[in-house]
Amino acid sequence: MHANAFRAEAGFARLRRRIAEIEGRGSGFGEAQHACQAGIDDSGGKDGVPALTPLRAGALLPFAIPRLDRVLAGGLRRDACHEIRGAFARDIAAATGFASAILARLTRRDDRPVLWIVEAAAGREAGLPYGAGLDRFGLDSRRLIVVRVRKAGDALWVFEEGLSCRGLAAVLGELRGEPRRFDLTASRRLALRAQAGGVMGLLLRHSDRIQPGAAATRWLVAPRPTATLDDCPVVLGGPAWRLTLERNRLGATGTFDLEWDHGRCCFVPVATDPPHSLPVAAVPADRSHPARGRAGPLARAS
Amino acid sequence: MKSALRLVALDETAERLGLRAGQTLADARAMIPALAVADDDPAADRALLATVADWAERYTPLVALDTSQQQEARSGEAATGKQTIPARSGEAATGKQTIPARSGEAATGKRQHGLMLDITGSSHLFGGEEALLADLLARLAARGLHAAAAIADTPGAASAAARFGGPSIVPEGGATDVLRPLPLAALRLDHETVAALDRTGLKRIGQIVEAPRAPLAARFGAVLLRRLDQALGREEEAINPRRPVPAMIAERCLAEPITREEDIVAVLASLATTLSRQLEARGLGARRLELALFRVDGAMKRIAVGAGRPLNAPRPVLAIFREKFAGLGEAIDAGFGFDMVRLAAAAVDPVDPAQIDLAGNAVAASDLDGLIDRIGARLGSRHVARIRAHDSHIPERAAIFEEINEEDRRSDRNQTRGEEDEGDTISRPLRLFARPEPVEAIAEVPDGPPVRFRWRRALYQVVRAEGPERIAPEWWCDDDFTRDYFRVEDPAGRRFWLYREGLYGSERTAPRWYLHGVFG
Repeated sequence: MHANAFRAEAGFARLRRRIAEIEGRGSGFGEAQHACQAGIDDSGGKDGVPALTPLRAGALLPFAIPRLDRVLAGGLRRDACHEIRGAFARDIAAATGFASAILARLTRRDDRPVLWIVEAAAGREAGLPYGAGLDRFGLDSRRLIVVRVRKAGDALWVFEEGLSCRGLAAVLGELRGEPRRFDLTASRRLALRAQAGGVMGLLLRHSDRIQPGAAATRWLVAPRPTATLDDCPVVLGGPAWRLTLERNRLGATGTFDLEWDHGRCCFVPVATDPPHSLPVAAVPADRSHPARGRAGPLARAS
Repeated sequence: MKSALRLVALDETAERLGLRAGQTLADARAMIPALAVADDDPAADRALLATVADWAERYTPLVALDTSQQQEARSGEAATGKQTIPARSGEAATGKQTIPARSGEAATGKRQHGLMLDITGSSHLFGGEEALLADLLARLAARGLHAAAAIADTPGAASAAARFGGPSIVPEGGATDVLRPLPLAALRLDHETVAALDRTGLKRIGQIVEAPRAPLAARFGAVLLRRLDQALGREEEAINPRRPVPAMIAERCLAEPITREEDIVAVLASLATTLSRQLEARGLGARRLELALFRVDGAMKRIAVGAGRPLNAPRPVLAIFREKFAGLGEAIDAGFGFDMVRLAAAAVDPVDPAQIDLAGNAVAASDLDGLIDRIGARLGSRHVARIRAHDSHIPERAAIFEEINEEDRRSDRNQTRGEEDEGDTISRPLRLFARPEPVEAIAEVPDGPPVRFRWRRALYQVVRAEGPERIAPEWWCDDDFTRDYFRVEDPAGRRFWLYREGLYGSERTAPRWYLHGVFG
């Protein structure tokens, strides 16, 4: 019986490995942590997505949120492309916020500038990045080089050129809709460029339908309402998002609720449940209490 | 008499029949009833002359319009209606310039439009002065332009020889002998002076060369002697090139015209290498580069690019031009091909010797400069911007996009940072609309925040609001209204920056609402 179970387990492990090989993940889910640190070799990946190479020093941008960093095996890869989108067109502001937060954290560690590419149509639709707002958000607007382009093709060209420029810390490209030229091949090219140059690529997608791409991660960003504070109903809280990690080259996905602390330039986890108020004082045991008879385990224990 | 139509220019046949410029049309018609005339079109003449001048740059970058004659002709015509004879013949005069210089002049049109070419130091490239002149005339003739040309030591002598039938090449130092038999009008004098000289019996240049100078100057003005001195090389005369003279050029004549872009790039690569070597030897780098493509049929295409830092290596030059070609949108119209390509460094700056530190920071910075140049060449440099904070309370003026200039590239440390917030709220949105978008909003009280608003046909409930933040217009702007800004949140957590324009009651009876930005 015991031997059988062991054999079955070994068989499953083999199968998992095989599936992982076919999927180009190289390693089983349980071993993700180990595999990520070494980088994953999936050169024979089924979709031809470039293999993740071993990590260089400082090649990760941690979120400093343990649960999130565990899923990403330490943080966002800086030598890869990441896609950020909102479920609706009007959620692009929240997606911009999340992208700006990542850039704010990145520019604290890297003093090279960031290239921000805006398609003219996207700028009309969703507004242009605003220096005064970015400064207050924690992203120094002096570090940005803004390129305004007319066509999606130009945006992709600038994005690709930026990824291979050693003078940049990151490139953020805003893409509207589903440009025909941005297919899987183009997305793979960008991933390869990012990997070779070590420049982080962030694609801010103004689109609610996304085709599969070669990005290392893809995030769905939704705004989060300010947590209720009974004593002060009018004040707006800091920026907060519900992040859904839709795609992760390392396998694990998940949903995360984060708040942005612009003063300290860091993410703060938001408790998913609203805080409950609990009685602090012990229930008096020597007196009868109207509720005691109906109460659960405590009453029964006494 | 003043308003009569006059002939301005004639072709050879008309001249042979005895007609002359300045004659009234009625007289001419009386002589030749079958005369064919066309309206004078100075603009078209100028355009033609400009095309020929562009073309003439294949011989030397120093091409000037012969303006002295032109202005005179213009003032003469101003009062009269003009008609010209079609099939205008051209004339080219070539001069060579003073002391070290040999200059050429080409003139088209009987109205003494001319081109002055300074061919000092460039004639040997075409096999000597005779060969250059023959080549120039043959090419003009092939384009259907009849031209007269002469080469001399000075522009004045060249002009005289070309226009008044002197030898096509005035030998060095032989200007006096050549000019002696020519009429005084050849000295580029105005009609009145020539007429006055004529009345005193002075008709040939030879008559005044040795004449006492003081009485001549007293009677006919200093200009006569100056023109004479200029023609004889006693006084220096500089020509005024149409375009700024490039600091350095590299060019290539091609035996077989090229049409394909790859070929142009290949030639460009070799020119860039030559030019870089010259620049490097002088410790210079090019800030502005001009590529001139000379077409077989005489047209010329000029493509200019700028660079953020002085370039003295061929590779970045080539990269910028590649993007420029790609950004042109359409293929370069090669016609029957280009037979000459010139790359000129139009503006140069001294270049610091490369300082490559161990960390490779210099490499990274030059990489970034190259990227900005390439993007600028392809998309237009005004599309590459930095965000600059301005000291203004008006939100749209507080941060503006500014083209990246040289100081930005050197350092970005001296820039001021935008205002910081006190407290822990983020009071400005991440994205701002270039034009505030009008919304329909309903507020509970006139001065209060909106309870709901409609933006782009969608209705938003406001569950939280902060404000107002009152921003008054700058005092020198009379037409603007006070704005009350509110930060509002809808049930889903989206945050908007709305404002009400106009103070209720005092500025406006029905204030309007706008959405100015969105928070992240």
